[in-house]
Amino acid sequence: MNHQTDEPIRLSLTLEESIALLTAQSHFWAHRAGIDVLVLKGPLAVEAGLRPSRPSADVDILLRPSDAAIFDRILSDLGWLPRPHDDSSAFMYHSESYYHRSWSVDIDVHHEFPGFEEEPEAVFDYMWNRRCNAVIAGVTVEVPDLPAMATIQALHALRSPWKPQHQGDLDFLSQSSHLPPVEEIVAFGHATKCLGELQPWLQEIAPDLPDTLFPAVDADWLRRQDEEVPGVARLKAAAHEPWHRKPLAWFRVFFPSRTSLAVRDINLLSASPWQLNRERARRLIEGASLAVSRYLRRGSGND
Amino acid sequence: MGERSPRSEVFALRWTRAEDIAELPSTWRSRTVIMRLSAAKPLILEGTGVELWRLTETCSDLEQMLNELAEVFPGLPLDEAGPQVERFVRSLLLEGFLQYRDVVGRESTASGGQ
Repeated sequence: MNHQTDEPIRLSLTLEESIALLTAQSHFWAHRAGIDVLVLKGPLAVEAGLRPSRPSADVDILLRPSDAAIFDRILSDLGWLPRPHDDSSAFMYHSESYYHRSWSVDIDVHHEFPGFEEEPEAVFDYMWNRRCNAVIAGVTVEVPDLPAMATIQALHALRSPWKPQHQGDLDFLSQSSHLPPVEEIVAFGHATKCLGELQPWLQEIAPDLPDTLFPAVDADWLRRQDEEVPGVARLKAAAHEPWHRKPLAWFRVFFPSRTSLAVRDINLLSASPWQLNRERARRLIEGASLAVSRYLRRGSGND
Repeated sequence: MGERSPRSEVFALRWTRAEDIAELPSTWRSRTVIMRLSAAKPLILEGTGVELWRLTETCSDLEQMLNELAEVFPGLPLDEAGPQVERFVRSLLLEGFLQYRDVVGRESTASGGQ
């Protein structure tokens, strides 16, 4: 008998283990509070055959917007802190990310999912009424049914289609033998108003679908898709601000606040002014370099 | 199991598993992670700990567990293993992974097995 049987020892968890345990636990906390949650993406989408097998970076759950404040209090009481938001972002936030000093992964609590143009509460109810069960870490949790899960996977990839990983995810999804019939995805997309957003993918897997099936997409969706270079959306948004708000908007573009900087590195919340300025300079240089390389790529016809 | 009489109180230790346990068995290495959903303290079990944890489900007292263990590991010196298994079970009880069903023995059993 080895020494570990004398006294159980806590060791570090793998990423997969953390994700699985926290998924089960998020469901437990919500269920105990009477909150309905659907587990999105991650290992359960892998298990459903709709996502390539790779470790997830965080736990993704979806709940009704009206339950978000209650769940926020539950997580706060358990030591989970919301990550700061980028106050210069051009987009509305669709989720809140929580971190905990004892865990290496975040919990992303979605109160809506970008791409659905139907009201978030109605989208959740529609998905909830068609939910399925799945088991993770020995615990039964609720997940969207296959058409909803495939739609979420597709929308997630289509939101930033220029990312190689998202292109790979979309190819995987298109070729999956577990993909539900296209007509079921179309029916789901029609009910939740995301057919326009799904159009490039749906017409790839079903070229016979007529253009007339697809409505025009929301302008916010197009802006999200165009954010290949971080900060470009911020620049565009600042340029379109009313004149009286322009000075502050431009100031925030070039001089992001402490909380905006801490979105990418939580340690910056307590950084010195010198460290913050160094990070501001680094971010500017990084954005400029990416913009130049993108411009050159387009110029050489590779885009 | 012939020398169990001095520790008879220990063998009276009975348990049941807590109901709110998440468990991640690993098929590719001898490792299991368990966590009480209401407690958020994961525990990683490796080696023999995995086997002992498995036995806490099929067995509900130490005597039964040691008998099962003897079948899994023939030749295991139960006199030496007994106190270790007891400590393992007690630590799981302390952490809430197991819950006392009923205890006939007294607190002295904790040192009686040393």
